[in-house]
Formats: sequence, C-alpha cells, structure tokens
Amino acid sequence: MVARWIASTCLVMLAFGGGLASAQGTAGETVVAAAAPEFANADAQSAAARDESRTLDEDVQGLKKQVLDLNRDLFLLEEELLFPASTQVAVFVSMDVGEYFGLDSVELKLDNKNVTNYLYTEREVDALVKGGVQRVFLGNLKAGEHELVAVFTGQGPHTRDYRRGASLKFEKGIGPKYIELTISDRESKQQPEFVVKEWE
Amino acid sequence: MRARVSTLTAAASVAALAAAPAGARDKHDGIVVQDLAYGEVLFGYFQEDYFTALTRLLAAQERNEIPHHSAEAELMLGGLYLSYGQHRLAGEIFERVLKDAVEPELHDRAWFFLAKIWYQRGYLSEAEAALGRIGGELPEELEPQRQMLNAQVLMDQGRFADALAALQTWKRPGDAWVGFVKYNIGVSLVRLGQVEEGARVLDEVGQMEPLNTELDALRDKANVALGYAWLQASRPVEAKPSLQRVRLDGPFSNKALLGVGWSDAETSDYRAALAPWLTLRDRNLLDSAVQESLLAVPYAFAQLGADKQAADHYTDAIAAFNGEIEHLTASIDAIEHGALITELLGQHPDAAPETSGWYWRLDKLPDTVESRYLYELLASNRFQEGLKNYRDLLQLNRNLDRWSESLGAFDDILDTRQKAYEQRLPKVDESLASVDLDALAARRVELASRLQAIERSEDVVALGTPKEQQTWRTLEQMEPKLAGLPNDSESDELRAKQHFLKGLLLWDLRRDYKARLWAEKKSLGELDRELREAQRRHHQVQSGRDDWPEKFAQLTARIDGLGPRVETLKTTAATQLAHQQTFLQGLAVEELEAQRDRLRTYMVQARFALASIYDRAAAQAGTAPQSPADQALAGAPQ
Repeated sequence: MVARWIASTCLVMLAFGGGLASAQGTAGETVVAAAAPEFANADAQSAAARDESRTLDEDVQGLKKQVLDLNRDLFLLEEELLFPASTQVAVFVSMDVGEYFGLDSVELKLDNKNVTNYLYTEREVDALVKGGVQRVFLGNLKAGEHELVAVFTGQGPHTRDYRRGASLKFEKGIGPKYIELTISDRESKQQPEFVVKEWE
Repeated sequence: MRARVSTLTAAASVAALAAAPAGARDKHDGIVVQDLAYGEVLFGYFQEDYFTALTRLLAAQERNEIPHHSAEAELMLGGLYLSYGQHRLAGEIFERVLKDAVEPELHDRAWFFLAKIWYQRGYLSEAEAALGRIGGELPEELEPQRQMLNAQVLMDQGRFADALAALQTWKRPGDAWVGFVKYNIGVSLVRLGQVEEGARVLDEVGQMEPLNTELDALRDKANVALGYAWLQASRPVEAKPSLQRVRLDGPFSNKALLGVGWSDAETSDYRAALAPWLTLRDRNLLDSAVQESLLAVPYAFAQLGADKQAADHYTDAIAAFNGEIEHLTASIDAIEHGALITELLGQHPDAAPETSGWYWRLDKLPDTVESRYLYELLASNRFQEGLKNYRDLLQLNRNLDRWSESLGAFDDILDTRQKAYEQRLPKVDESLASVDLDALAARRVELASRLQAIERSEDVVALGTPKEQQTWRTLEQMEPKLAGLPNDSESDELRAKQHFLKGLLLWDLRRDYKARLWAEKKSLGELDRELREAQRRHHQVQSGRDDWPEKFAQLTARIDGLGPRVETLKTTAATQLAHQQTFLQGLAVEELEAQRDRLRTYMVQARFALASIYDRAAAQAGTAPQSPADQALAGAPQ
C-alpha cells in the first residue's frame, strides 16, 4: 500500500533514533537551542562512520601535541636567541583592584626612550582582573643602572578618568631582570596606583 | 601581588571550566600568584587563548619557572589540554593527578567535563568510563547534566534498558529537567517495545505546561514522537490527538501536519487528510515532510476518485522534485569544490580563527542553499566537532607558516652575531691581554699589608700628606747637623726651634692619624670592590669570548633541528587539513545524496501513480489523455 510505504519513510526518520539532546546549561538559564529536539538523532552514527571520525580526531590530536611541543621549543629558542639572559629585561602588568577599573593603556619609557604603548582590549582587561599577568615588554639592556617610567590610563568607578605614573631606578645585573607593575587600589581605596616590584 | 586565583579555583577552574568559558566566572579571592610565568599562563587562559597558554606553560615547566605552583600547574595543563580539545592527553593527566590527594569535588568535576567532551566526540565507552569515576554528587548546576549525559551515552550505545534504569533514579521530580528526563524515559520504553508505557510517559511530556521556548520545543517533540509511535503501531486514532497538540508555527509542525494527515488516511478519511497535507504543500520544499506531502495530496485525491486533480498534483510534484534534484546536484557540486567550509566559517578558509578549542561552536548558520539543506547535519555533534578540528588545523597551519618564516630570520640573526663576534675578537683579545688582574691583586695585597704595618706601629708620619712627610724628613735631617753645632745661645735657639717644629708637626700628624687610617681603610675597601668588579667583568668578557663558539654551535644545531620539524609538521598539517575538509564535505555530500535519492524515489512513485491514473483513464475512455501531465511524464528524467 502506497500510503503505508510513504508514511514509513517518514517514520524511519522519526523512529526514536536515540536520546534527546539535553540542555547544556543549568535549567534556569536561557539555553540557546540547547533543548532543540533532534528527531532522528543526527549523532547516531554507524560504527564505520564513528571509526573514521575517531581516526581523524586522533590524528588531529597527535598533530596538535607535536605542534605544541614544537612551539615550546621554538619559544625557548626565540627567547634565548633574541633576549639572552645576560641582557634580558621584562616588564609585566598585573591588576589588583577591588573596584572595577577599565584599563585603557600602559606606556613605558626605558632610559627616557619610549618602548611600549599598549592599548588594552576588554578581554585582556578581564583576564588581568581575574589574575592573569601580562608580559608587556621584553627587551635587552646592558648591565648597570637604568630608569623605567610607566604611565597607565583608564576609567575607574563613576566613569572617572585616571592617569597615573611611576618611576623606578634599577640595577641590571648579569641575570635577567623582571619588573612587575601592579595596578592596585589596595593602598588608597578606589584610587588605582602602580605598585612596582622587582624580581630577580 | 594580591592574586585572584586560589590553588583550588585555578585548578578547579581549568578542569571544571573546560566546559564553561572563563568569562562566565567572576572574581576570585585567594592566595598569591607567586611565579610570573604562572600568571602569564593564566593571562592566556582567561582570554581563552589555550594554544598560547599551553605553549607558555610547557615552556615554563621546561625551564622550571613555576616552582611555587608546580602542583596545580599539572592540573592546569590537563585542563588546558581539555579546553584545547586534547582529551586523550587531558585524560592521561587527570588519571595521574586526580588519583589521590585531590578534593573529591575537583576530581568529580574534571571527570565530568572529560566525559562530556568524549561524548561529543563520539568516544562513548570512554565517556561512560569517565562518568563511572565520578564518586559523589556534583554541584547543583552540574548534577542534572551528569545524569542526562549518562543516559545519553547509554542510549547512543543502544542500551535502552540501562538508560531507563539510570533515568528512573532521577531524584528531582520538580526541577526544570524533568521534562527531558521523562522524554528520554518514554523514548527508551518505546525502543524497548513497551509502546503503551512509553506512550503514557510521552503523553505526560506532551501535555506539560511549557515555561519557556525549550519546553515548548520539548513538548512538540514528545507529541510528534508519540504520534508517530502510534502510527507505527497501526493505531491512527490514538496518534491524532498528540499530533494536533503540536504548535503550528514550531519547528515540528511540518512533521505533525504530515502525521495528522496519515492518521486520517489510515482511517480512510481522505477528505480530512487533505486539509493538513494541502497546508503543508505550500510550505518550504526543503523540508522532507513537505516533499512527502507532494505525494500524499494526489494520493488522497486519487483515493477520493478525483483522478484529474490527482494527475495535476502528481505532475506538479514531479516538476518540483526535478527542481529540487537539480538544486541538490548543484549543492553537491559546490560542496565538493569547497564552498561549504568557506561559508560556514564566514571567511576565507585561510584566515586565522580568533579562538580555538573545545568551547567554540558554530552559532549561526550561513543563509545559503547548502546550509538550509544540511541544517540537522550541521547542528550535530559529529559535524561540529569535525569543524572544530578543521578550525584548529587552520590555526596550526598558520602557526607553522609563521615559524617557518621566523626560523629563516633566526638563522640571519645568528649569522650576524657570529660575524660581529669574529670582528670584535681581536680587539677583545687585545683588551683582555692588556689587563693584568693578578698584578693588580698583588698590588692590593701589598697595600693592605703596608697599612696593617702602619697601624701596628702607629706610624703617624706614614699617613701624613706628602708635604708633611717632606717637612718631617727635613726636620729629621736637621737633627744631626744641629747636634754638631757649638753649644751657644744661637745654636740652642736653632735646636729649640727645630724641636718645637717637629713636636708641632707630630702633634698635627697624631691628631689626624685616626681619621687618615679610617680613610685609608675605606679606600682599600673600595679598591677591593672595584677589583672584584673588574675581575667579574673580565671573567664575563672572557667567558663570553670563550663560550660563544659553543653557544653558536648549540643554537645553530637547535635551529637546524627545528627547521625540518617545522617543515615535516607543515606537510602533515596541510594533509590533515585536506583530510578534515574531505571528511566534512563527505558528510555533507552523503546527506545531500540521501536527500536526492529520497526525491528520486518519490519521483518514481509519482510517475508510477500518474501512469496508473492514465492507464485507468485510458481504459475508461478508450484513448490516452493529452494533458500537461503527459508532457511532464514524457520529459522527466529517468
């Protein structure tokens, strides 16, 4: 019977081809298309298809691991080559603010020479606020005394604009020199300032 | 630095957060980030730049730059691998790190997220094993997800009895997940052959009061599933009410309308069946239910004896199927030429993706013919996970291209340094040879012993100024001469004057002695420091001079070793990218071919039915009709 045959083609598609996609987020929140029901379970794959998919996936994973290891080795080589420990100087930026502070930029001068003028994206500021530390400058300096001048700009609570600076005279020895600039409002409440720390 | 990341949250976040973008979390309070390198890793991680974070962490571990965070760094590595879709490596690390001395909650969360990615990538047995490692109950927001994931893993393996057993232990009858649980229970029961029982559960879901769009969709889905279950069981009367509950404007309305028609047709009420089917035939022909309605409508007309209308509708259907088959063939051709990936990624395929890893998901389908045909396939985990790998491979290719260029530059830098070294070498050697540090050191020792002797003998004259010392010597030289003079008043006066002047000078020398001794000692200390600095610099220059050839050789060897690695991986990455593209295109083409095959089958059915009508008409009239339908039939491809 034609009717039975036609209907059956549709039934094949609808025949409970497996589980229902469940919501991806918590039940209360808006979950975009998370619960969109899938009729024939589009993921109900044949064993052969799954095998092919897995083989490819495992190949990609193997390659990713090799490329990551290569990147590690190249990262180390690049630093050793371009910024040897004997001359290396790095400046880091971190944030330690209780109130929201929208960092716009950090400007660095080393021995009165402009070396960095970094503009921040929202994503980068967010990462700093959460505890990330950014290496904002990496360069080479001779051993001896040097001066770093740093200025940051941004917007604090109540859309108040801030521009603060700090300077540091430091001695560059034979090992690498690390200087951390922390934008902090710990010292004076709601008044972000630079707190400078030298690392050896 | 007051840091935002506690040991627990950093570790837990990475493992746990593997499934929730970092942006979803808020500030942390906690202990200090004690190693700058660890902070750098977090900076990359919090921006969801997992590749950079992983590279930095691997380098930091190699250089032992995170001594204060070594424990959580390993877990961080596992979490980052997971975030980057490296589930195998993540699993190995979790296996090792989570075995003991880790908070149970962290342990359970890590295995949950690993199970989730394994499920998405089709590693069902691994996902099941990972879920089995979860010892306790997860936090409130995750526990329902765990239970649903567990059921899905079992159902995807066809183990409906196990899934049913798991689902029936659901402990939260009142929560927002209950509709999904019941739906899966209903599906499992039907698949186990317990249609009556399954239908009862699905009916409950189908009559739930929807609270949001998800529950609306779920209710529709349950009603359609239930309706078709009844149709399959040849019980069309029971099928109809649930199918009629489906919203007319929802994503399941086409299937429902088709089913309602079939439930009427099954009871031979073809007139009633025509109503939903005629509604359907004006809808988008991309939908398989709409395509099927093109055959169902003339079938109903034929059953009602309206052969003329039936023949016209069959003719229309054949034309429509032909048109769709042409579109599908064009789409297959376009996909085989790579159009799909370009459209899906919304950019040139060579462009670098912004983010990578597991979180990324195609959130918007391009409005193209291909993607409209492939909606379900494109939304499936199988395709999405494949597309993620494709994007990651694109990123790897870009990364390797960049390094390939950089290595050439590294070679140039090294050559320049070598030339500079060779040019400076004679000058450096000359300069090193001209400085006799040993002689300087010996001179310093001599000075120190002289000062010691002066101090021991309190030789105040030795610390006098040159003028004082000259005066002292003159006065001393006078003494024998004055002693030889006659004892007269004039000579006595001269001797007394000499004696007075000597005493005066001695008084001055004694007065200044202590200050001078202190100054001399201070000078000696400064000399020591300067000498040490000179020795250090001398040593540095000497080492730099001596070490450079070895350093140069070592750096050259490293660059030489890395070059072939980059090139080999470039070839592999390009090959894998091509494979991945072929795989994704293959999935799409397979899907389109299945749709085209279905349409061809429909067309055969339409022609067969049309021919039967003509035969019947010819038998009745004695001649064959000459209608547009004949022409369509004659011109249709075989």
